Amino acid sequence: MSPQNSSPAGDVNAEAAALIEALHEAAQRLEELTAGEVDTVADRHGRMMLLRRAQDHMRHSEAAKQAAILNALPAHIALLDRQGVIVSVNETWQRFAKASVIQAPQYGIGLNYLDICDRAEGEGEGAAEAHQIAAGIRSVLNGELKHFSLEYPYHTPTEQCWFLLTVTPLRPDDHLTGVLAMHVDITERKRLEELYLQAQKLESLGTLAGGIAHDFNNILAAIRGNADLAAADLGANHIASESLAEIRKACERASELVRRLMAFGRPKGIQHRAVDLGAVVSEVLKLLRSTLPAGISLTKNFAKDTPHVLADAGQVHEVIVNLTTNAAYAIGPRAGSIVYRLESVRVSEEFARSIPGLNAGDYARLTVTDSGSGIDADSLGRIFDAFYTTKPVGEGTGLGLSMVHGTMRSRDGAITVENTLGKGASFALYFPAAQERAQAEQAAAPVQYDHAAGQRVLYVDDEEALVFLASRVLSRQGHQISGFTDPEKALEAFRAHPQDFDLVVTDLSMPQMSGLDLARGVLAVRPDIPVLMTTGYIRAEDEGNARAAGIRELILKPTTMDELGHVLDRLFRNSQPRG
Amino acid sequence: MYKFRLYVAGDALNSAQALANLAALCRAHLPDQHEIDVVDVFREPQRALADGIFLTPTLVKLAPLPTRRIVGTLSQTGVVLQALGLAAVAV
Repeated sequence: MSPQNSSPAGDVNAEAAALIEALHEAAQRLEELTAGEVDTVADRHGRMMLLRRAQDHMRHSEAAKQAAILNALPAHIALLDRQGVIVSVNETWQRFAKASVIQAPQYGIGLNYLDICDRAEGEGEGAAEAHQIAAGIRSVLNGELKHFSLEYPYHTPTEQCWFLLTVTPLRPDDHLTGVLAMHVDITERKRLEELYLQAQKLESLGTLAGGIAHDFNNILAAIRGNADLAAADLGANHIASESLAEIRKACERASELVRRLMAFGRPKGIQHRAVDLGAVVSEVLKLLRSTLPAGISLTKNFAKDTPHVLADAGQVHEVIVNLTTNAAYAIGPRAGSIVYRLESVRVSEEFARSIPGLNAGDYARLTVTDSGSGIDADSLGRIFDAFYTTKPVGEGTGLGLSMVHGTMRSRDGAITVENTLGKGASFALYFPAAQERAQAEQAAAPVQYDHAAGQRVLYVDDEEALVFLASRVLSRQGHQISGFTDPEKALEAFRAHPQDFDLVVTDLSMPQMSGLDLARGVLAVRPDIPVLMTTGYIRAEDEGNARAAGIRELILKPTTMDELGHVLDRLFRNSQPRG
Repeated sequence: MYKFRLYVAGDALNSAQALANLAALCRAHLPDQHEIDVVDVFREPQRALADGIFLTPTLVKLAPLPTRRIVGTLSQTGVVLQALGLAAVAV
């Protein structure tokens, strides 16, 4: 016996177990009948082979599946080994590499990705990001980071793109073999984020504008009212009367701007009604005039028989604003002109076929023609695409014309463009003619301005200048005014002598107490007294609340004291039969 | 109902022959009264090892009892029929 054969007890047991297993196998083999040739004889060694072949088979099909998944992903994917060498890349990476940057054979396979990133240092923009990428991959490779991700800009010759890089460790058997670097194109998401931010900015600007407009309106009323008073005091022949008339004119223009600012701040719903296109265009041009360079002339050429159209005036506003700003941009700092032509057209079947979305029938056609630079052939095919813009970053969203296009299509209308490079562009908008006519904007009622003098008015507004002005104006008209800037004090005064007043005029929003609460307090004491509420901005719920509180009338804050005089006059007359 | 399970080694020659022979045999002797379950030991090696299959192709008759095993291409029809208890039917 050689020394090696002197086995310890454990070895004897193991040998016995192996023998028992062999016997068991032999017994099983005896049971089996043989009926022909066999493929695999699996003795102990054979069983290992069987297992290994099975594992290979599975690994192969698994690898094929994984490769198929990686290739199907719309991301640029590279597998790097522990040194950062590119071991394998997916098809998206290959296409990207073919089209651009990595001018290396085999799409960069075999090169060290970390070296590539390190070398980018100092080669201009993008170097800082490349450095960050290399640092991130190193951190994952040496275990400092579990994952690494980075959003970075990437400049192609034609546009700026954004990518999101994620670096994930590969540990097939719990040992780090390398990392998977995946670059996903997030350009579209970034653009949407920017637009969303822009929209948020606009929204807050709208709220801000609405707020400023409200206060500004009060100030304007005071300026205008005092100018009126001064003009009345001095008489028409006074040397200052011309200046006062100018002040009044300036106030009117300012009021108009404020009205539009308030409209901008208001959230709008789309309402399709019969609209007089000419009136809407004129209104927009009035607003736009002050924002365009003085060198650009705006000319209207409206045919009288143009039909009214079914549209949302707000949307038409936006359409005209978009076309006009684009036209002004095309004209640039030179002198130029934008012509708005409105006419009635009958679209024939033949013509309708040539323009997508257009049907035969009666239309109002608005043509906006500018004397700008025109549109180059390359851009012409894309001008209605969303996000397409020729303006520098930050100046245009690329949404203007696509919105115009969308609006026109949704209205069963159409838009066409004619263009001469260097001589300007002409956009023709086709609006389907409405069957009915637009209702004329409610014109100011031609009230006979004949004061029912001697009325006693409780006037409440937190704006001191307005209370002061109203007191002076209404006193002159023969009324007796008790003016208050504090609604609580006003209510106190009213409760003390309720029979001393014929009418209450109150502002709606005041810091101490709302006009609604004041009105409720007043009407609780004297339900018969007419209460007039003024506000800079009427919301739908205000009307309901005012009615419920028993308020006789809710009106937009008069911009002139004359207007207030008219309203009071009407209220006094209506309330007289009651008295 | 006769239930068979045939263990094969992928599409290896003898395994393919065994499947063809079994199918022919069932068509001739057990029309409409047989079920065949084919197990590829490369795809399901653990199952094959757990079932004690060390040779392929191996046919196991699961029902009716008793279970029997036959290895090989099943080309020796007499042996197969006898082992399956179908010899009387065949003669």
